Amino acid sequence: MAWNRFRASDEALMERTRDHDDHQAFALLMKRWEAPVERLCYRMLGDAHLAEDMRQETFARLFASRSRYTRRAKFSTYIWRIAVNRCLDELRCQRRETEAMERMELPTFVPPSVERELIQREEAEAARRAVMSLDEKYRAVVALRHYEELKFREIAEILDIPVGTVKSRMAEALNQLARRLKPLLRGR
Amino acid sequence: MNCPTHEEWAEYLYGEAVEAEQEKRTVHLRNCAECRSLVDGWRETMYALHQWESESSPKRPARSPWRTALRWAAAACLALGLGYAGAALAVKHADSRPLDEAAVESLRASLHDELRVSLKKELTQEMANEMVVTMDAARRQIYADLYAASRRDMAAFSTETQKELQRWLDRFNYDYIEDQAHKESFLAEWANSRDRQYVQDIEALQSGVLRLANMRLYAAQQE
Repeated sequence: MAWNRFRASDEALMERTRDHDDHQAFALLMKRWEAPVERLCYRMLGDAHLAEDMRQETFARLFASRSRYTRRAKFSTYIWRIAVNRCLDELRCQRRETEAMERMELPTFVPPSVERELIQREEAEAARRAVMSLDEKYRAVVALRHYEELKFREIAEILDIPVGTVKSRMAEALNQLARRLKPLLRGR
Repeated sequence: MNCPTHEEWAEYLYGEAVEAEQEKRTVHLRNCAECRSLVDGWRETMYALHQWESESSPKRPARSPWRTALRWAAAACLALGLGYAGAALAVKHADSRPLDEAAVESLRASLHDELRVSLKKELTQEMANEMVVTMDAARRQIYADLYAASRRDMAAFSTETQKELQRWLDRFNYDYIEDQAHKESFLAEWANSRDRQYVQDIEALQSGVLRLANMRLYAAQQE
């Protein structure tokens, strides 16, 4: 049967990219996946411009490492993993910058009280802040399960951890988020 | 009562438990106040998480503290001006109506003190609030600058990869255009060959019919 890239699965397109350097196949993969990848990056990083950069870097990395792609796992797992790892690298880099800043003895900054923040800002901003305050390992699970609606089993594959760990991270994330969003929920 | 674990409740809330388990936990929720409280809290949290839409919320521009000071200065000038105008009016009417100058002076002094205290209090409060906002903005700016610097470094590292991707995308565009041109020329060639074939077929048919007619004529003449 003749090759039809429009009907081809993601895995087949990626194999074409790897084996034949088929740029049209890769362009189609980008078209299919750039929106979900950017969405995930936004949930992980909380910044729309940064999410766009991370999306581009994810595809650049996917392309650069095309020769290492194997069909053992689904393509979705492969690309989610690249995106999550890219975001985790970015967060680590940001943390290092923040720590460096804190060592520079800047004038002490007193943040406005949580209550005042919640009154002044929209509910969405409160939710964003709550998610951003989570440790990266919890944030990745929340982004993938709650916002991208992947199954716990799929998340386990992407993060390369047992399913039980994914569930316990989700439970812990919900506990932490509930605590942080309590003032907002009480005021509703 | 044997309560499900937190992990099992997470599984339940995201609808990933098998059907029988899902039903069992629903029944358990009706009978266990402790689990109900936990699950209700989580449900509300999940609802709150949905409020975070894809768009980032716009930031409130920081207001200069001097604007507040100027606003209060204008108000003070206005109040003092009014006080002065009142006193001047009273002096103007001094001939027709006796004026208690001490009372006017006392009123002016008390207004002045009251205004001063109120101004000081309001201004201090405003300055404190604005200071927090300004510090926040300054800190954000410093972070942003540092971040931009680090991004520039990173961009330099990834330039090669990006160039490769760009070359690759250019090639894609070029090949696409070339493909289209190739397809069009192929179709034109095919149409021409069909035309040529059609003319050849017609000519062959005409000559065949002519030959047949001649043969028939020859046969008729022989007979």
